[in-house]
Amino acid sequence: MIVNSIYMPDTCLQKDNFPAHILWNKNINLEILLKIPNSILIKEIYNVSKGGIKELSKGVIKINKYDVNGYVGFVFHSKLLKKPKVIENIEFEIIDPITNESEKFIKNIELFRPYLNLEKSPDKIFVKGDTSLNKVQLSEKIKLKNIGDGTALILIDTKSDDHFLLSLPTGYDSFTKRFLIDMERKMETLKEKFPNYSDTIDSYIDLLKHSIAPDEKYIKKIKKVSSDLLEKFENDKDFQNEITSTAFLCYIENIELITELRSFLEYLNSIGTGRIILLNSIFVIKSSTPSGRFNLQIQSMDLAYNVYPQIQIPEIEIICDKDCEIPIHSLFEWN
Amino acid sequence: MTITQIISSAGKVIAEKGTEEIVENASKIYEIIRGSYTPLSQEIIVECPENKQKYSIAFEAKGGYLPKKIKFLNGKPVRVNLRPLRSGQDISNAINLLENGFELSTSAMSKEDLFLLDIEYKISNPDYLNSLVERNRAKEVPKDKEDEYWMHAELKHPKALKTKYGRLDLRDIDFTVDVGITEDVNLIIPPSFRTEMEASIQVLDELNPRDKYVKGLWQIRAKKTRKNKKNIIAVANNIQNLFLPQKFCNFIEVKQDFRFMECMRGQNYYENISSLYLPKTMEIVSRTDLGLEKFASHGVLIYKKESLLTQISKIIGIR
Repeated sequence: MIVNSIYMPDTCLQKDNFPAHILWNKNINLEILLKIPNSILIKEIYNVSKGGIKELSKGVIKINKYDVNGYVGFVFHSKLLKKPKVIENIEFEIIDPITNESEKFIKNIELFRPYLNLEKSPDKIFVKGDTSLNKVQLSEKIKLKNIGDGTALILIDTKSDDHFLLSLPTGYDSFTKRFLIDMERKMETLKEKFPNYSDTIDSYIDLLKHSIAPDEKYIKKIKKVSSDLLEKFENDKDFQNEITSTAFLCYIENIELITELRSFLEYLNSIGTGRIILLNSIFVIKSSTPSGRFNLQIQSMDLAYNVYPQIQIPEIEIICDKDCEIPIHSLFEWN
Repeated sequence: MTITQIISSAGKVIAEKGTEEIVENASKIYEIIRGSYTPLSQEIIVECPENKQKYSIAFEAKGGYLPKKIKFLNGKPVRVNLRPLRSGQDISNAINLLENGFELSTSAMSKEDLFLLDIEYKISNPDYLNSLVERNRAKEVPKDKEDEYWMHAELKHPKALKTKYGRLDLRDIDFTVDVGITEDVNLIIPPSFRTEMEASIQVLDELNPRDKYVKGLWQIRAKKTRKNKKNIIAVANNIQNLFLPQKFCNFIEVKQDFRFMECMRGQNYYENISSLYLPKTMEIVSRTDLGLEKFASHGVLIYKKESLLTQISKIIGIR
């Protein structure tokens, strides 16, 4: 056995990075032949000297010179694939150029992602309002299923004839307002303590202040803020502890008995079966007329914040027996 | 991109410059010590979470002439510690911190002994660690797999860690993994509990006595479906308590080259403020070390989902 260790993870989200490394005895010079499928790209190779790498043919690479002998590191990138679950393999062939002894290692990886399937979309939905219980009952629901293995973060948007509008529910947000004011105030103090992270804190507050919007600009913003904060958190423990505890403190200080239950219910409403998280689950559809038509669009992304093509739901006619607010989550069934 | 361009040189300059700065500090101290004592061994450690370098040098005093004070004027250290290894006596008064460095009072030190001097300096470039280490982790695990999240850290430019003043190791490299919990919470909480929650909100919200009574009946009907007759707010709070760091860490195990450090509520930037009652993910921090004797680390974080679900079921009273 020439190699001490060869590692590659066995699962990864599609369109995300995954690493690999090979370790061997520092006193032996090795050649490495790498065979990678079309679905995978090499993003980085670490510790290879200039002139130490050669592409023999498409997807076949030879490495034979290292800055420090005994190690080579890789970062691969999976492409977005048609199928939501694909098992691919990378072949590492290790050759001792002196003895010509060689050993092959085949490492498999499952590349997965969410895959939303619109299974049923009714032409017409009757909405029955129960005034005494402040509830609505829908005659039919839209059936949306995630048949992929990855989590789908989804945002619902509507296009309607102006009579059905997507908005926040009546009476919403006294908690949210208090929370944000408190956060903004406390974050100003944190900016004084961590002046180098002032821009990061501003972007974080900005993201919190703007309500969730079903568009790519919003998604890009989430991606930027989250990767920026993750990097800073991993390099500065104090900063991470301060941000996390401040956010939780603001939550605890502003919550009331009734918001606790509302917040718990809202949490449950935002989760669909089969790894679906409805980002704007708090929104309702408000109607100004008893009936009308609307179109829904579903914008989705995965946990690596890769955005998937929008799903258009065919036009639906809504007939309400009285004025009501239809919670957006109640329009869907996920199984 | 051609294949030769894949060889990563990104961050190489920062890595080399950062190491140069660290080694320069160490070499100055080494040379000053050598002027009066016999250096025996030394090591340089980068303490990653604090972004600090720690230089340790062991040296021997063999008597003879020593200046009263030995000054080290290459920047103010964060901490200096000196220990006599043979006598074990307290010589904390032998160190004086100065405006731009520190000094040793040799009169407080034994004439013949072995000493270990540790000096810590802040690393000036906050990007130094990122320029040296590539960190990757599983963002999630496929549905049909066990809840095991992989973690991997590898050196980008190991050559930058080669110094003539001994080993330079990276210690306690922080690693954050987000463990998703939404699906589990959603599956274990029965629809009747949601109905009870909805009814309870309406009862609390209602001012009209008649409507309060109607909604109260609705709430009682929903409550009857669970064995545990505790108040719903107490139940909700008990569920929330499971996600406090000191409780949730019982559902986590870190294996192989990484070690568990701490856990906290996940920061999910896509979340509604209104649904913050429970976290959608828990953030687990693990640590590993890298250096020229360890170019790469891999580990597994196991989330003991079944134990958590059993706890939630017991709290609600459905098991």
